[in-house]
Amino acid sequence: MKGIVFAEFLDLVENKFGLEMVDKIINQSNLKSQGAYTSVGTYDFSEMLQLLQNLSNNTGVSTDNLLLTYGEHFFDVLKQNYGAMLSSYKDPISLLSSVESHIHVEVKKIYPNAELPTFEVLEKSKSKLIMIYKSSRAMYNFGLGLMHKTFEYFNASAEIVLEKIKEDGTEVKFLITKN
Amino acid sequence: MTQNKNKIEILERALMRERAARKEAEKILEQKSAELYDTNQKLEKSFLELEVLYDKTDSQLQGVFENIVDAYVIMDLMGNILKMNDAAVDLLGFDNANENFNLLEFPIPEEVERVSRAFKGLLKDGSITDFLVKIITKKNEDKLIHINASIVYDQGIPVAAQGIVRDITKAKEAEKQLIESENRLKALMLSQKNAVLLKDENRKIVLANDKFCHLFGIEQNPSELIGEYFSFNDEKFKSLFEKSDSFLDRTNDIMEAREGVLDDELHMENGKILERDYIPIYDEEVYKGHLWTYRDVTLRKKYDKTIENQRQKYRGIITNMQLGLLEVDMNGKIVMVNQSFVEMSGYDYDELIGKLGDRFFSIDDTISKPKIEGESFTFEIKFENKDAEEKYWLVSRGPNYNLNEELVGNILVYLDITDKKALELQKERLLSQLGKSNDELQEYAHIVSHDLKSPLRSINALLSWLKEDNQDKFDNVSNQNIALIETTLEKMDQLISDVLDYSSIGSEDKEETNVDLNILVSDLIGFLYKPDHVEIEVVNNLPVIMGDRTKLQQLFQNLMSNAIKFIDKEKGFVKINAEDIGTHFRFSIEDNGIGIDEKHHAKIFKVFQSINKREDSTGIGLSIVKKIVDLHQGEIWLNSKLNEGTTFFFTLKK
Repeated sequence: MKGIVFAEFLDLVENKFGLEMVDKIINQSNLKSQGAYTSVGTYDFSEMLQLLQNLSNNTGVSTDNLLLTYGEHFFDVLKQNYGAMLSSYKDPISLLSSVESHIHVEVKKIYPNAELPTFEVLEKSKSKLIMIYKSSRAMYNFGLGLMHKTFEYFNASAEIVLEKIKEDGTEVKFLITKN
Repeated sequence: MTQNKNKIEILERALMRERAARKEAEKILEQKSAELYDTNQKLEKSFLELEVLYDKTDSQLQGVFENIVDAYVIMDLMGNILKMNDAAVDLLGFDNANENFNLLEFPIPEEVERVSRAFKGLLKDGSITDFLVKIITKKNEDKLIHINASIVYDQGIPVAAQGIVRDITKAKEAEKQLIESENRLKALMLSQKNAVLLKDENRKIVLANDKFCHLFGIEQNPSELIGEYFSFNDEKFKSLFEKSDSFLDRTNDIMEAREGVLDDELHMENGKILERDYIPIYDEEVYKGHLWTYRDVTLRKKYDKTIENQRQKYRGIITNMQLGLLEVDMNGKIVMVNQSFVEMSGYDYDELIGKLGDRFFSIDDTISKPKIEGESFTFEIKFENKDAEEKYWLVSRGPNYNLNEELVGNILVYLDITDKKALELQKERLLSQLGKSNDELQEYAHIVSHDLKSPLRSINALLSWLKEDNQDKFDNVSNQNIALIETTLEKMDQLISDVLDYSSIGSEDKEETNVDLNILVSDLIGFLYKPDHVEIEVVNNLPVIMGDRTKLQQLFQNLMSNAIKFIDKEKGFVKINAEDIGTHFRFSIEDNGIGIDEKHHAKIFKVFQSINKREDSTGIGLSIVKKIVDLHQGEIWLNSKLNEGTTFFFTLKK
């Protein structure tokens, strides 16, 4: 997993819960990196899972909600670094439906080793989009956070319903209806 | 304190992590930097390689540009030539590649507008293909050219245009000629009096003509058949032919063999006889279709049959005719003889054919060669046949020409005239004998009558002396007897004179002059003895005719004196008449004398036939008359009634 994800995550934890919480979850976790993350590095995903779990244990907030919040935060990171790409879209539905075919393709160019989820578009209309999320990471809530922020970015809102196709969350159907 | 101490520891740990993270980042960066350096090295190397490759390709391109067969021109966006190859120099009629010229000045005036539009199109669309235009080159040649052009961009900005130009003047001309030639060929095929059917390799009709449709009763227009399938398998067409199944088999065999077939004969149910040709069409040994042509040869076939019949007929005639027939070649060798000739000559075929004709028949070359080569002529030959019998043959010899009107020999036709010849010779012999006899007889009569006259004169003289000497001594009876003797002597003398006249009439020494019969007859009236009761009348003017005056006088004198002599009526007449009847004059001498019984009419013109036993009649007179009329190529006849009179008619040639 790219270092930026870890770095941004720890920044978010520091902002919301303080440096002590950061220190706490790092100490509670058994991390190969010792919690020293650089954006340009690449780290094991299990470290993220430990950090998330320990944060949830310490704060009482569910990992799902943590991921959702993190996704919302991460959109701002993307907006700062890749604003040009976002502005090439005129509406959220077309942006979301192009995640697989356009955005992830560009990501792969910069980070050939990146392990990305897939978003298969089942149905698409002007105001409706149905996609299936597939990833061994089961970080669909991270994706949901990104989606919320996407609609917000275009000054729009949407009702997004999740249906787990697989219980472990590695395959989830997103039913997005633009308001 | 503890709290502070904790805080410091937390910060220390955070600091540691930051350092570790920085070191990690630096390490990654160093690593990336090394990778970048490597990559850069590689890039530099491949850049050098590329540069070499570029130079090579560029010089190749330059070579291509210079050596390209088609004219290649680079121009600016205004049409001014920037660069061109040698082919373009030639095509546009320049002297070298360095001349400055604007391409838009080449098209002929009528094309300028169109070219200008096309050039705008090129600037707008970036390319133009298959553009044809007529131009006048710098050397004032008219050319038709074909252009493909495109705009040259430099980083998306148009900077120039390049074009490949082809001179298609000749190609276009050739194409035109090809089309014309194709059209001519098509017209030729369509107007053929033979039926024509051209099919492609898929057996689809490419071309058919009116005659084809007409011949096979196809109601469609020939042009409507193009692209259609046509087969005689169709019941409608199949039934047009006699023995249609074997016809179809044969047709399919021909088409499968794909080899040319000529003059294949077909018999149609309607009695027509056709000949067809099958011509497969190959292009580079690849089958491309075939051409059927059909000819209606019914008339010719019938004509051939007629000719054959004629030939048989004439062969029969030649074989069976009574004339001998001989054909010789230019060397005089016998080529053909007929049965009659074999019989006539007595030789067998084998003894004749191939042998020299003149070896068998002694034809004198001077006679047998015509004066003009190739002219027909007739001659007689005497010939001994195989049995050594002498034969006379009449030969007609004519030239024999072949189809090319070249003289190939002669044809001789022989007629055996041996029998006729024998008769002719006999006749000639008889005639000469007869002439001789006639001459002898004439001479004899002349001599006899002449010789007889002198003793008569002697007797007459002696008798007159006897009478004078004994004038007083003879009694009346004796004197009467002496007078009778004198009369008899006179008659004898007259008879001899007449015989002399008759015999001399046939002699050929006649002197023909123009004789005026009016004078001749009036002279006769003057000196002929005529009793007073007889009137002589010349009814109309008599003609002048060509003849022997003495004989003509004798003719009229005899007839007139006869007429006068036998008049027994109180008032007698003799009427002389003449009439022009064309080639002859017809004369009549009419009297009202005693007349001649019809039974005597036939014999009165014969010598010594006197009907009336009169003292002064010798019976020779009318014979002389007949002879004279004959000499003048006339005829003589009479109308007479006993006791009423006689009319003699005779004609004399003008």
